[in-house]
Amino acid sequence: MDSIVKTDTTHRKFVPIRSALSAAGMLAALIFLYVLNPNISWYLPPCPFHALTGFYCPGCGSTRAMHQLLHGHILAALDLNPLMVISIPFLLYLYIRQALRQMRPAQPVKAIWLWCVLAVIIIYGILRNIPVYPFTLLAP
Amino acid sequence: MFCRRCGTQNEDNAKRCVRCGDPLIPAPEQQPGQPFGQQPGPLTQPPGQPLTQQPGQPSGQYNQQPGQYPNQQPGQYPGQYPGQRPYQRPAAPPPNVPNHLAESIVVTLFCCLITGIVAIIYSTQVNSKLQQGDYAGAVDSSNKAKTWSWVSFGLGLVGIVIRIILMAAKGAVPRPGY
Repeated sequence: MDSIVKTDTTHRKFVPIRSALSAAGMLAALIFLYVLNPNISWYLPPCPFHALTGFYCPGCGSTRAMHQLLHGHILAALDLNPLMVISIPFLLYLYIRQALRQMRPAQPVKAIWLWCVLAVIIIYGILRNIPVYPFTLLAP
Repeated sequence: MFCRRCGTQNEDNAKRCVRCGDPLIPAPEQQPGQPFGQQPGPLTQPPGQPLTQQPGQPSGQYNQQPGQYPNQQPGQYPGQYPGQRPYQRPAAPPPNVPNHLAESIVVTLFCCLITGIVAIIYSTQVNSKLQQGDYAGAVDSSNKAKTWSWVSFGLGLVGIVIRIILMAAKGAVPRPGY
């Protein structure tokens, strides 16, 4: 029962602080990615999945894509990881919706849509490993 | 009984949540005859019983004294005139369980694939279980999604630290990029 008591919605007075902290953390990560080019800087490790298996994972290329995006190179970012670039507006919407849920609780999204999200991520991870023309566009 | 607002477990006969003070809504079959009008529909007026309210009489009977309600049924409040629908609690607010989907996807794309996917699966389970009315299960999945998001994030950070240590041990010169 301990896990039930420990949901973060129980500490409602800390929600603004938490939101501010996570926003600050994200800003720091973005500055880090703006300054460091993952292509030539060795601070950032390569994808462990790619290093182990040789296959691309759904996230491969996302740090490089984010670096390009922060410098305004949208096409270069789309070339590296199109799903990540396309998902950014949705992720921002989800994040804001979740941050506001204390003020405006909304009906939860139907679970089938979330299963679709999971399926899209996994299918994308498979397709981008197919070394034939239209799918090579998905590879980093 | 679990609080619909914060998920805290309370005594079965508790009226309010011990943690957040939100009124607890018992299941209808657990406490029959509760004065909250849990019985569905206008059951307060049994068939065949005459209505005391006369036509033309104002419906709000403000000056009545307590104890003057011969037709009052268990589901009625004092001051409620016969035939009025029993007081209905407003519809329960939407269950407030975060599914942590945004964080789960972000850590999947940027930190660690495997644990990130686990976090996404738990995020999805939150909404599945809410849909089935399994509130406690949804809170449990929510906490697991949060835990696995943090595990992924930690693995990503550990990866960066290990990378820096390894490269420094090799004697590489830091290259801050451009």
